[in-house]
Amino acid sequence: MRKITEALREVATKLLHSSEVDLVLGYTRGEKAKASVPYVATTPEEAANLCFDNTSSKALSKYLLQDSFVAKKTALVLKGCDYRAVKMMIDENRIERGQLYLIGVSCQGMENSPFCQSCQHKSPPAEGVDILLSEDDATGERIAKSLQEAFPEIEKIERMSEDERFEYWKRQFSRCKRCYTCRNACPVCTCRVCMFDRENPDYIDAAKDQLAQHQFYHIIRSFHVSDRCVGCGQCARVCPEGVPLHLLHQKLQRELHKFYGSYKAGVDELPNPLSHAHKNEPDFFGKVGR
Amino acid sequence: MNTTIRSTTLENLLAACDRLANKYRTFAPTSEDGVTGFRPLDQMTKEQRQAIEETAFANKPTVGSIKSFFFPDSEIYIKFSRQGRKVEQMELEGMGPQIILGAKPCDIKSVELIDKVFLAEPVDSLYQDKRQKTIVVATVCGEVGEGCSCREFGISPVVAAADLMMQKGSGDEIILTPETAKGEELVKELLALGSFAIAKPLPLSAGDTAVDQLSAEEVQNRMDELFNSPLWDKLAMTCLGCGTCTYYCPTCHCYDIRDFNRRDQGVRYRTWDSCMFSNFTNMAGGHNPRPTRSDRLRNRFFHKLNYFVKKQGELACVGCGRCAELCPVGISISSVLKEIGRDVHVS
Amino acid sequence: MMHESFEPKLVAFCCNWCSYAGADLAGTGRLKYPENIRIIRVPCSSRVDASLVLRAFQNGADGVMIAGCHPGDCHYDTGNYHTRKRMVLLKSVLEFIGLSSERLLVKWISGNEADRFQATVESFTRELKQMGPYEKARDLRCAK
Repeated sequence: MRKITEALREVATKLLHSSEVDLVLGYTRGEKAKASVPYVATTPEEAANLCFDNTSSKALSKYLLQDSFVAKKTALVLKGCDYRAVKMMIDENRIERGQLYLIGVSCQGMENSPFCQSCQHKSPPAEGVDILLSEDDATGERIAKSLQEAFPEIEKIERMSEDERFEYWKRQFSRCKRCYTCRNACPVCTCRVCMFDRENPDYIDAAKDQLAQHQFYHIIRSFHVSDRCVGCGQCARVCPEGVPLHLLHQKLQRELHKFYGSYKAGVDELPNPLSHAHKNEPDFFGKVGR
Repeated sequence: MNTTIRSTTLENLLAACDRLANKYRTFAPTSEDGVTGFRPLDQMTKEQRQAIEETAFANKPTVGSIKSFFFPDSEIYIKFSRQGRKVEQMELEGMGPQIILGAKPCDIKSVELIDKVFLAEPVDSLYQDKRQKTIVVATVCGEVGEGCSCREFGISPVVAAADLMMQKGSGDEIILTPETAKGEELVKELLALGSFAIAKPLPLSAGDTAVDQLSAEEVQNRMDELFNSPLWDKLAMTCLGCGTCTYYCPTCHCYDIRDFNRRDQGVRYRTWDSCMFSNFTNMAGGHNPRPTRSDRLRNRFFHKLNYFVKKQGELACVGCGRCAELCPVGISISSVLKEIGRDVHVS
Repeated sequence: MMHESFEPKLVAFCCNWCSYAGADLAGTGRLKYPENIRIIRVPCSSRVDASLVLRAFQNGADGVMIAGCHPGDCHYDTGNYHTRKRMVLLKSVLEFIGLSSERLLVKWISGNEADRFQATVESFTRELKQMGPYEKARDLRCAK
């Protein structure tokens, strides 16, 4: 991604030099040699540290809702998935388009990220961003599998018996410590006060050794994310215990697709499927009940 | 008198632990779905049991540290029930003795650091009970692992002060050397099983050349100067405010106390909490003395590198490298140490 | 698997305008239905979301029933359209996690269908007796 990195540094330096933006939010080489991490450049000199490669997986859009970024003009580096999250934030009136300078990058997929294989939106649309950077050799473009073909693990789980499925998820969830990293890293988890942070009364019990509480957290979060998921893969990637959360969220996406037609958050316009309901939708509970 | 014993293979030792299962519950480090951690021997799959050797002798600590053996992620300590107006406390089942088979020097040191908090007056009886009932068997690392900086914190990767030391001998042999009375006791029991032989203790390897150890006082003073530094705001910009660093750090020990009730029954339990969560310092009335992420980040690093030194005389970091490995955005103790001019080797 | 002495606990969320009225009518008409049921009256079946259902299971319910107005008859016009959209997803998720989605029943029962209410509770209770007690989603502390 040498070309993108060079172009990025050039754009960022220019933006900061002319004070067109207060900050440039991108990635830089981390301390661990192989990974790039989120980085905020505030001066033209710092802009020289920016980079972009196939380890730049973090969803930067999440930071826009934080105090440190409010009332600042921010330039941010956006992969396709990240752009979708930003578009949703704008559509939902969480941020103003005017306070952003969007630097789109045409992403070739991240290494080790479960979602990238099926990603159909690797680059932000040119008309949605202020500038779009890409590599010359677009031959590296990976062939995106269809939604149904990606994640054969989901089919594998569906083919298990109910007890096997239960044991599988029990093993995964037993490692969960409810560190809430999945929620914090997710770019579409944007509630001002998350229900799991509420106190008086607490929405969720604090015990970390009860499977029922882990189930509660993950199932409810998957519901709240369901039709908003942009497929960035961060949930599974950041989990310190390696719980494959992307399978759960992707399963819900498939079900939504099956019953209510295809809807892509951040690409199609609002409203999203779960925020409205019509009489012409299929009724599964009809005469017999289910 | 230290009786060193020899086991023909690790599996032989594991089989012996199985035979002692009515007295001790043995936990060993293994890998599950690609994540390393301790699991009870009696619940391991065959693959997990076979993975013990590699995990125990790797020069890297497991993702899950041993602090959960003494300070579990959730622990009920009062059980009560109500009959009309009378409230009765119910007996709690205590824990039996346990063996941790394969703890690393950094983790062992981290327990010594938490001891200073939990075993000082007033003594935390829950912690003390577990501490007394646990036998720790250490495995050493040999050379320093990638991403580890134990030596900078005064910890040697080739020596560990535990109840027993477990080393690899010639071929598949395992050598066990007791270092405390508890360890000696376990050795006697193992010998009685008949599948072990007396052996000569193995010499410890010299280890890598020494590095400059961090001076606790110097770090503490430099941190004092950094209290109002823009570093904290800068780090806070990319910090996600999750609980990963605190839950996986072997010296972090903050907890919350909650009740769980159902009509006429209830339990009071303590559970891990994280100072990085936004509602950690929420108080009745709505006041929060650490309202911003920057405040909370600064507090955490000050606790590790300044407050703990002032109160307990030592730095509260063992250089295990878990924060650097697991932080989703690459913030770690070296992000701060770099600022005070002492870059510790992280990768 | 028949549990002879096992009496399942059934939690039924009944919407005030239709199914609760239907249950009431069953009562005044002296139609007997199993005592295993615990009815919780809600203004509309769409008040019930995934967290209420999971909480019911956590706290000891062996089966959860959601009874609402027939689609098109909702007192609030569109409430039950949301219910069916939400609940079919919840069933898929429960099934995916191995949590016996048959223990969640969604049924449309109108205010004059007292017999339908009675029949539903009877058949659901019978099914739950066969399925046995539900441990998979239960919070195991303070279990009586």
